[in-house]
Amino acid sequence: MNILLCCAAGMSTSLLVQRMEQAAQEKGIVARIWAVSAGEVKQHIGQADVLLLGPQVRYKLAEMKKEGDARGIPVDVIQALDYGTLNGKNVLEFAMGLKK
Amino acid sequence: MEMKPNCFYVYRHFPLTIGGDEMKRVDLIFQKLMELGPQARVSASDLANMLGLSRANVSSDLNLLWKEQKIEKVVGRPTLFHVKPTGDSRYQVETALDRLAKTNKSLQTQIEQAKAAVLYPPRGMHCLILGETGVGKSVFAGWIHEFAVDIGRLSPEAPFVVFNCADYANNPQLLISQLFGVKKGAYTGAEQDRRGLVEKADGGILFLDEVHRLPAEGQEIFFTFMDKGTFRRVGETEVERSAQVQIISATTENPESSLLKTFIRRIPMIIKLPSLVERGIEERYHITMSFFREEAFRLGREIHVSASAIHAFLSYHCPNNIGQLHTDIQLTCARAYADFISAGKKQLRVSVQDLPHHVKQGLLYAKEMRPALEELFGTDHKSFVVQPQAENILVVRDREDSADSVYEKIEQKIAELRDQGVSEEELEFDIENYFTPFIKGVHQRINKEDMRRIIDPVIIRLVEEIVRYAESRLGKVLSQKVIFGLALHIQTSRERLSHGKQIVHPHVNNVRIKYKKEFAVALECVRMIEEALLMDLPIGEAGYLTMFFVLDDEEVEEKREMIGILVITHGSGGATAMADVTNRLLVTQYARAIDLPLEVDSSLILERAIEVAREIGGSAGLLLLVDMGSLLGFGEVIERELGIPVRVIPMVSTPHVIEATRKAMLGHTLEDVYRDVVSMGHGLVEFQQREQPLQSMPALAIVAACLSGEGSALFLKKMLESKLRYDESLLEFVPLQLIDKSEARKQLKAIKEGRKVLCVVSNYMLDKDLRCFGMDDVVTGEALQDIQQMIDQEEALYKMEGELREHLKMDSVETLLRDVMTCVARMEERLHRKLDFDTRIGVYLHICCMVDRLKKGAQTTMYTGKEQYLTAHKKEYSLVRHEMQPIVEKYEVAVRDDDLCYIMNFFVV
Repeated sequence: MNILLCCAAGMSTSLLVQRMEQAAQEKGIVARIWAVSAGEVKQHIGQADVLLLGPQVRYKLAEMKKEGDARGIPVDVIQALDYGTLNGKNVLEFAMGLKK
Repeated sequence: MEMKPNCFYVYRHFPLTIGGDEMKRVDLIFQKLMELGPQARVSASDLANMLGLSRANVSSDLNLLWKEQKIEKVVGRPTLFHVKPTGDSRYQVETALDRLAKTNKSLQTQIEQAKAAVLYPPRGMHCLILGETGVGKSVFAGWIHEFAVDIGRLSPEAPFVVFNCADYANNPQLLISQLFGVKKGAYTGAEQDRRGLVEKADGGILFLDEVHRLPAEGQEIFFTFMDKGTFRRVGETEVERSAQVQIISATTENPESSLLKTFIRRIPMIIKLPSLVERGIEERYHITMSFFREEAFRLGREIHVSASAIHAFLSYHCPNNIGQLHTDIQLTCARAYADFISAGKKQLRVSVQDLPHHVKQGLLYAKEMRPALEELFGTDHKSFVVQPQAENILVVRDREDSADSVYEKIEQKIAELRDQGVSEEELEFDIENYFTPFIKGVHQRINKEDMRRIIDPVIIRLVEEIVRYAESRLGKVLSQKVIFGLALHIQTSRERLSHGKQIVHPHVNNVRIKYKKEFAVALECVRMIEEALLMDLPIGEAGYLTMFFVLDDEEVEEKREMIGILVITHGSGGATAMADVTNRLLVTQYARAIDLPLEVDSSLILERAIEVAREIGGSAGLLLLVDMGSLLGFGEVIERELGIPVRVIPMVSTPHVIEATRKAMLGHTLEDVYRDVVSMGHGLVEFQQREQPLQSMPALAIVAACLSGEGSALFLKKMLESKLRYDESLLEFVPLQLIDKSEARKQLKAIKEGRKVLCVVSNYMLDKDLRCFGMDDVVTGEALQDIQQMIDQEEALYKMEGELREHLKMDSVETLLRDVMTCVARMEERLHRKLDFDTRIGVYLHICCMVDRLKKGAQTTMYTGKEQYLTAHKKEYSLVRHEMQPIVEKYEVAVRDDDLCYIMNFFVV
């Protein structure tokens, strides 16, 4: 499964990526998880199964949803608590839940 | 002839400093002759003796110098030599600075510095004069110019141009054109070429006052001019002009501030002028007398000044230094003069009645000064007669608003009133109020300005009225300390009452019996306050007011019993400024301060803090007022180190320091002062309490209160524990007994000390700063969701810190998150955009990661459309950049515009 994360400059989500990869490994899930800046989403969204936004770019949700809808990809904002505490496990579960 | 040993003192040293140690013998001899001055006639053997050289060598060098026409020779036996007088005949005359040095011993160093600055080849050295308001910076600059003329370094026509940067600080364009001139057509309105002040000062001195106000736009141009002596008029591109100007700048600011730092790099000579207090009593006497002489000279008649009046002038609190002393003396003479002509008296007398109120208060301190005063002029002086002779008057450049006109105005006014048939008694009008506008910079009540910063003007006026009334009824002068204390007291009382808090004076009855007269006055004052503020006051208030009137007489008993007040804050100057304002207002030196500049290691500061604590702490203990961070832990260390009780007030602001100092000076105990200051509350305190070590107890708490502290509180505690999701290592529920509300508040404060209290569950409002849920709401479950959310948010911040510590390989992760929080809070405030909790968490993480990445040297992704975005949001850009600055400096990262754009995005939607 391919999970694309997006935040302002792709910096803070990359930390989360590590955590999610770790969680995926533990669960034995094969996933490709990567982070980009908001501006780069268009180039990457084609390869993703799901797009998650950092809470600080929540204001881009509408815009991103449009992109996602066009391709049938679910888009949502990561829970602030999970994001702030870099809870890879929860975010991974959240992403999987969206996909279904 | 009389020698002036000081006159060319600098010559002895300064060629060595610029020419190294290898000075040629012939130069040494020439220098010695210069030093002796053109009037001294010396023989070769005299000189040989003075310099420890052989006579033969000296003799041949002298002849060499003579052949080079550098010196003159008087043929005789023995042949005598002397230097030529320079073109200016005043060369041998005592210079302005020498006259100044005579009566102002404390300025010795500064005068030497000034001379060196003028004499430095080839055209003098730029200098910066530092000193408090009114110490005489501009006057000193004037003297430097005069000196340069006196010794012939400048021609008598050489300009002395004064420019006050503050006048144009808000209009950099205008400032630059004022300084450097304008080319015709440079902008609308520039109808002809105009010279700037720099050109006008060519060949002379430009005095830049309040140089710290030089706006950024002007700095670069000005620095170029200082470095190279070249400049362009505004609008000029082809010509590069040059001017030879010695720059003397002046500032009241701390030279450590950023502008001044760059400035100081270009200014080799820094002259620090002492404050009036630092000048000492003897010099203050000389200065006072010279100002009286100046007035006598202006009036053309003798002035008799009573000894008490002189005592008052020598003792009163004069925060604006010599400038203020000068205007106060002018004011006093004006008043005495009005009295003199209106009453047709034979002598112009200045007695205590003529003094402005705040000067009169000097007599309150004169007691302490008595030994020093007696040493100065004995005990039997009744009055001083000041003669109207120009001699010894240090009249410098006269101010444009000459005091003469004040005297004229008095005469006119009196004549006018007489013509109107006003009687003699009625003529005793209020000179002070009437003439104040004519005398520049008069401060009627010195501290009013300071007071205004923290006290409502309505209350200031009210207190002035009360003081007038009490002074007349009690027949005594109240000190500034009391007046300010009273104002502060009334202001806090009003706040307390308006919040429904009570004021109870525990010993009203004792006070009433012991101080009958004062109590009666106090009752009347209470009525005045009630009328002015439209509120009812409890009788206890009269008890407090009585104490204000009484305490002034009573020296606070024992010094050892008093607690120490120490302020420490991050950044340079913050703590010092708070303590300064406090000390000025309370007329004391009680509050102490230590600044903790960002680049200084806090362990160094801790050592200093312990040192100061040892000095001021004593057995009564120490109140430490700090802002945040590691400083919160200082109290414990000091307590351990010195074995004295220490209490710590976090998030300090000036009102805290004032209140603490005032109470401490009245001899209140540490606990009392601490409680009082804490009860004043503070603004944004969100995260500071977390600094406390987490070891023993959870950092977060929710308080449940009921009457017994055992019944429903315990029930609530259990219920919350079972219904809420939370981390036990982070949060605990604390039951509280409510039977005595003030006791409960006290306990709540104690709970708040070590940790952050999220909210209170109680049917009574215990703390207006805390969110309070009613018991019903909790029991019915309505409030649970809100409480859960609060818990989640707080815990998230906590855990975030832990996570970041693990991920970011930085030494200072703990402080990073906190700094970022502060920074974001400020941006929210400045950009008027409140972020919701979720977004804020994301933003925190974003900025922390950004700092981490930049620290590792990684590049940020380019921000697409950066230029356009920046142009569209200039204001936001500069605000965000400004607020990021502390982080940039502390973590030494180069934040680029791309980074800023991303951050701006969060706030500009």
